[in-house]
Amino acid sequence: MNNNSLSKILFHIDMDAYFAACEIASRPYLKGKPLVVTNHYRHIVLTASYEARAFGIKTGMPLYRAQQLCKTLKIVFADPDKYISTTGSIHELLLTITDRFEPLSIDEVIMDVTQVSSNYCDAAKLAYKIKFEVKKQIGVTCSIGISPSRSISKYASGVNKPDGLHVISKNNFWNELKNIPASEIAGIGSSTKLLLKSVGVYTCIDLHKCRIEILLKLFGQNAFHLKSLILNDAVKTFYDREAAKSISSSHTLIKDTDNIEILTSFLEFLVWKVSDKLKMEGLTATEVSLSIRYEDFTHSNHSTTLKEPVNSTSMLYNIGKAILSFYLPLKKKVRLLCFRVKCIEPRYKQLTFLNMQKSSRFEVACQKINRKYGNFTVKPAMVMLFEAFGKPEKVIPPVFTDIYGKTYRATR
Amino acid sequence: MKVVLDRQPFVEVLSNLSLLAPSRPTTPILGAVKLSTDSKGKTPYFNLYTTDFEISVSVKCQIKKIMDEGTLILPIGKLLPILRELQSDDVTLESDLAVGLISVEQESYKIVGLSEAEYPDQSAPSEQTTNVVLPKEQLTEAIKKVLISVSNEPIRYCLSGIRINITDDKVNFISTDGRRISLLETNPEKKSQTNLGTTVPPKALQLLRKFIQESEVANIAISENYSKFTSKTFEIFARSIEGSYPDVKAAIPELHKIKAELNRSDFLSCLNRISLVTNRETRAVTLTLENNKLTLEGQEAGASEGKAVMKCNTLNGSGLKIRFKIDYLLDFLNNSDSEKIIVQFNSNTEIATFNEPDNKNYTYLLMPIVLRDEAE
Repeated sequence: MNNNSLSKILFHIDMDAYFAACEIASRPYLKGKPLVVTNHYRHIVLTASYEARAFGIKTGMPLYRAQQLCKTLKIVFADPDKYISTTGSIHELLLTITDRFEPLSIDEVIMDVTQVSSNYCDAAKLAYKIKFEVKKQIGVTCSIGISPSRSISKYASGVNKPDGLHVISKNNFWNELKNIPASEIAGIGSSTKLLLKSVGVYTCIDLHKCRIEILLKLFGQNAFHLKSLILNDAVKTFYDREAAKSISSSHTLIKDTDNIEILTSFLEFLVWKVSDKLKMEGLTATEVSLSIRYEDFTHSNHSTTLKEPVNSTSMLYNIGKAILSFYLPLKKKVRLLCFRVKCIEPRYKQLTFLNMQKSSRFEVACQKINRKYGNFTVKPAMVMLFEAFGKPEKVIPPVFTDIYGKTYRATR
Repeated sequence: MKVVLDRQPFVEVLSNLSLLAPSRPTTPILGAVKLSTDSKGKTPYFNLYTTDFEISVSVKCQIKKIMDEGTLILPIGKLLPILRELQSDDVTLESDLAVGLISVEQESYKIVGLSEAEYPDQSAPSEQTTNVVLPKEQLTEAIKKVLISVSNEPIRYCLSGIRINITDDKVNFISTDGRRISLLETNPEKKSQTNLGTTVPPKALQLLRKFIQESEVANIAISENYSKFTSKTFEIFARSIEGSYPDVKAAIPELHKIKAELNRSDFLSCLNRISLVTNRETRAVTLTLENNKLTLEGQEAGASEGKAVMKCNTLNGSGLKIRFKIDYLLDFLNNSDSEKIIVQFNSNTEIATFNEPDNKNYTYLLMPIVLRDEAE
């Protein structure tokens, strides 16, 4: 076999029981306990921790079945924002090594380390370093598979799970292929597997050796894709990102509401996110807008242009609150809030004598926690209450107090 | 109630009061004016009262004749445009319960108002206050000069007000938006006994500036939560803006390395021309001060640029290149009446001081703009 085509060293980095790991990282008291992450409707298991898997609990299993299997099962609601944010932090960490990696999903990355590792020994050392840093900085573990091919790296990452490392080097690549069932390759499902078996293709090496004409008869044009699976080593650069023109964050509420306190808390929650992104990108906001989608799916948008660019959380929150007041009194319940800023990298900076742009110690602490454990481990209490209980539902129309202390309710 | 009023002065007073009326009132009380007849004195008066719940204004307006005493509460948004459009000077205004009837010669208009029970009463809260009396000229000048630096962004809410600090023999008016500070000291006629400060909504002072034209002096009474401005013809009552106002005096440098005297009108006209070519977003103008020469430069990359050189009198030090937002400089110069101005700098990243040589009580301080590389 020709080894010239195996010139690359590719990592497949796969997070172990990712959602559960994120939850354990942000709530260390769950460590070592059987845990499942479920959706808000309490229907199915999205992810199970390894302790829960020991009871036979699997992803996609109905929750009642999981509870039957394990009486002490801990159930946690999924927090997609937290997982997305944690993934962002992992990507940031990987970017310190190379930008030649592609996120395959929220918890998987394929990375080309050919330029940073001259051989497989260096690559293995680098893999250990990545595993160590991810565990230290993010608090989750990952398994890494190393090989010259995308699909074989992906297979390798699953060999020693969890917290594992498996190397299929260029030298033993072809030998290893003899032992890897073709159905282990991502993209080969049960029906493809049966068809391949019908032509005597059981292992990856069989697939590689199989003539394209045979595959074409079985799979049509998909045959080329199947044939290329084994030796595919193309990895794009992580981001050829243009400078962000706007940054936004939106949140669909668990339950439609017209409670101003709840909406304000969610607004704060969104402002934190946007402000954090702005600071990370070194940008400042020049225009702020707040969109609301109502229960009947109609939507409305208000925006304001700022005199001076800002990136401070408290300033953006105050501006957001001022925009939210344009919507008051609410005529309909709100389904979704979207906070958006138009941003620039300012060349000119107006100095201020007040430390208006400086983050408070609280903001800095929240940022550190959320960056480490995922957005939003720390979030406004009202948001957590609403997520947990969906209440209070009391509508509070705006009240004006005159200068003599007498109060009036808005009529419109 | 039935009165005959002189349309022109009444419209003027109503126009001033309309500052408190929102364009889309969320409750009918907002944007309504309470008109009460007052025939106790020699001349008949209308007492006009309006409030936006933060500020309330009570002002007297002379009318021609009172036929029937009474009170009427009408929306300014309806009353004012009708009175403005009328041709005749003598207008009859009468009430039928809560309905106002405006009539002149062949025309009559009906406006549905509010009943007295729906409207807030005018009783002032009893809080201990500090009182001073300021002459009209000083007060008008102070308001004019500090209004320019009031913040109109909802970032730090207390900065959207004007700070009035009453000390033993001074009344300080301060405003800042974080980038510039206007600070003006006045000497009251009647001094206060206690020292106190409060943050007043700028609208209250805008109204004061309009209504004080008829009076010689105004009494300023402030407490922690309220401020009251009174004269013979008006009473403005404002709830203070909450929040700790920054100590702006700490930002004023004690010493300056560079000092120069400029002709205000020359500087203003140069800046006006340069402002035509500056970048629309940054609005930055570069000032280069060399020996007795000030160079002003503005540019919009790839679109326009301009350079102007003017004479100046360098009093101390020179050789500085500093950038400012041109609008902030224009605000100061447009609101100054002085022939000359004194500018003082320390460096291109530190606050600059602008003074009028003939008015030592007024100081305008401005933070510069820096390029990103300079800032780092």
